[in-house]
Parts: sequence; C-alpha cells; structure tokens
Amino acid sequence: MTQRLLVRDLLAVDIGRHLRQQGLRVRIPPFTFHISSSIPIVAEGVAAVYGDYESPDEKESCADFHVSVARVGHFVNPRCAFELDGERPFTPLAVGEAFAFLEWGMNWCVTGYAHRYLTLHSAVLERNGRVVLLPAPPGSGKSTLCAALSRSGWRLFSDEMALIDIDNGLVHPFPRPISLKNRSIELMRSRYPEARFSPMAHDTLKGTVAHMAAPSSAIDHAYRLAPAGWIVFPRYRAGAPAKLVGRPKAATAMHLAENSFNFTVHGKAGLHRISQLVNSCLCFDFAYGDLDEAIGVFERLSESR
Amino acid sequence: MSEWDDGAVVFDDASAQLSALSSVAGAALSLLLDGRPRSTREVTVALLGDEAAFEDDDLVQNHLMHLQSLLLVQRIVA
Repeated sequence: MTQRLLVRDLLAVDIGRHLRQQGLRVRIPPFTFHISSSIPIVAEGVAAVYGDYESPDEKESCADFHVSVARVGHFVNPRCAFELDGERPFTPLAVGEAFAFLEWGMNWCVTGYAHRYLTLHSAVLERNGRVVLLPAPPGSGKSTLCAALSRSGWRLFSDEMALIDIDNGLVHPFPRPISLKNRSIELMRSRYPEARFSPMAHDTLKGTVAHMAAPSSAIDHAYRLAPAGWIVFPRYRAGAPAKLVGRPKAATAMHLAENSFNFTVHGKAGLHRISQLVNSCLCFDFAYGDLDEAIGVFERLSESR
Repeated sequence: MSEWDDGAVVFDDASAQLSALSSVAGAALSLLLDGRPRSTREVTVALLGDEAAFEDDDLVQNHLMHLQSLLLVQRIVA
C-alpha cells in the first residue's frame, strides 16, 4: 500500500517552490485543486492551514480546478489577481490579501461550477450521524459559532456552503479553513491555542480576515456523508441568553432557496430537494450572546433525535 | 410547489421566479393547478367548506389577486 503524501510532508520551502513552479495539488474532498502562486503569503497560508490535506500527484488525480493568485501591477502599488484556468474573473486586490483571495476564489469555483450539488450558503457540521445547517448572513456570528462547534465535538463539513446531493439529499463534507473576521480572530486564537491560522489580511472589504485550519479529524473523515437533521439560523447579540425558537418551514425553505448559489440551475428539482430537506429537519432561530452557552445548547440539540 | 401548514413556496418554470405564499394562497394555487376555471366563490367553498361566509370571498379574492400579480393564475372574464 502506498503512503499518501500530505501537504505538511513537504518542507515549507518546497511548498513555496511547488506553488511557484509546477503548482501544488491539494485534495479537498470532494474536489482536487491545483494551486499556483509566486506570492510568499500564499505559500505561508497554504503551509499553515492545508498541512493535513493530501497532495496527490498528477498520475493519481485530475484537478477539478486549476487556480492561481498572480502578482500584477507596478512595484509602487502591487496587486494580486485570482485566476481560474488563466482567466481573471475579479478585480485585483492588494497583495496582502492574496491568501484570502485564493480562499474566496476557491469558494467561487465550487459555487459557480459544481452543479452536481445543490449548494446552499450555510455553515455545516455533523454530530451523531446528522448534520446541522447554519444558514445566516454575514455578521450573524455564523463562522465564529461554526469554528467553536468544530472544536467541541462537531465534525466540520464547511464554514461556507452546504453541498447537497441533488439525487439523494445527503450532505457532502467540504472541510476548508474557516474564515474569521476582526474580533473573532483573537477570540478563537485565545480559546483554541492549538489551532493553526493563516496570515491575516488587513483592510479587506470585510475588515481583517484570517482563516482557521479545519480540524484534522474533519479532513480524515471528509468522505463520510450524512443526512441533515437540523436547520438553525444563528444570530449573535451581545448579552443575549442562548435561545432556540421554532421557525416556520415555508419561510425556512424560501430562505434556503433564495440563498442557494445555484438554485436556478436546478429549478423545480432544487425546490423538491429543499422541501425534502426542510421536512426532514427541525428548524430553529437561535439567538446567543455567549459561546459556551451556545455550545451547550447545540450539545443538547445533538441528543434530541 | 411545496406546501406546509405555515405557508408555501412556488417555483414558476416559465419565469424561473421563486415566490413565498401564505398557506391560503398556496392552497388556492394548488386547487387551480388542475387548470379548470373556477369562480372566487368556488375557490372559497373548496378551501373553507360549504359554510364559508360570503365575506370570506373577499379574503380569497385578495389571495387570488396576489397570485395573479405573480402571473401564477389568470383572471378570465365570464
């Protein structure tokens, strides 16, 4: 049996060299990305948060997406551009945002092209064989809660999107680094000192951004699909007691459909799948002001069915 | 269309439009999806039973006008 090569098996200097020269393949189930970049902060970020992922060689695995972050512009105002198959779909950003740009671009690749799934904008975690979806707008505390739950007995599927199998409704893990913003970065660093973080990107449109590595257990079990059991809409409010309140099913289905990345691709089949998903789940709104209290509520939730 | 006790969601293939409906509007649309023309009174009786008051027709009429504004049903002048 051949040993799987993990990204962390490469020396940091080799990760940079791979990224600069032939590119680095990273298997992030269910996809394989081929990543290139000559920008040091990208190599630093990949080494920090992708160490536990397999790096298959080209004989083993075709890449689903060939992406790169290239340096563009002048010395006085260096910028970076995200590329998919050599095309640049976005306006270049400051070089300091290069790793965050790679992450955002990789999300875009999946939401824009992986239409064998119905993709919903939601964090996703699993416990006791069932998945909880946390759909919520930016600023709701979704990623902070997701990061804390991923270190408290819940298996991370994704911080950003639910990949729903359009045929059978099972949810596919897509464990990626968790995107944290502003005060959440320091909060997570202090709560989980063992966690690894990407370099920080300052002054982005979202403020300061850093990515927290997915727990290695989530990556190890990334081929284990699960059915959905709960849909919880979190909302952080300073000082609020943690409280779950039942949520109407029709409004839940409408929200999921409106916030799907590719609902229009699936149309009627997409609505059918969302309806089945909602019917199979307990649906709640969830206000919280304290992470430990929130974790306790989710612990009890996981034992509720 | 998908219906729940607390409302319905409909996807119109023709316009690729997604709409949220109240449970009454969802039930009315579900009834009309067979394509058979019905008067407002017929829809009211089908939804609420024979004992439906004539004032209920106004309520149902509002829901039918909402469905019409979404181009999900069409008004036919008798």
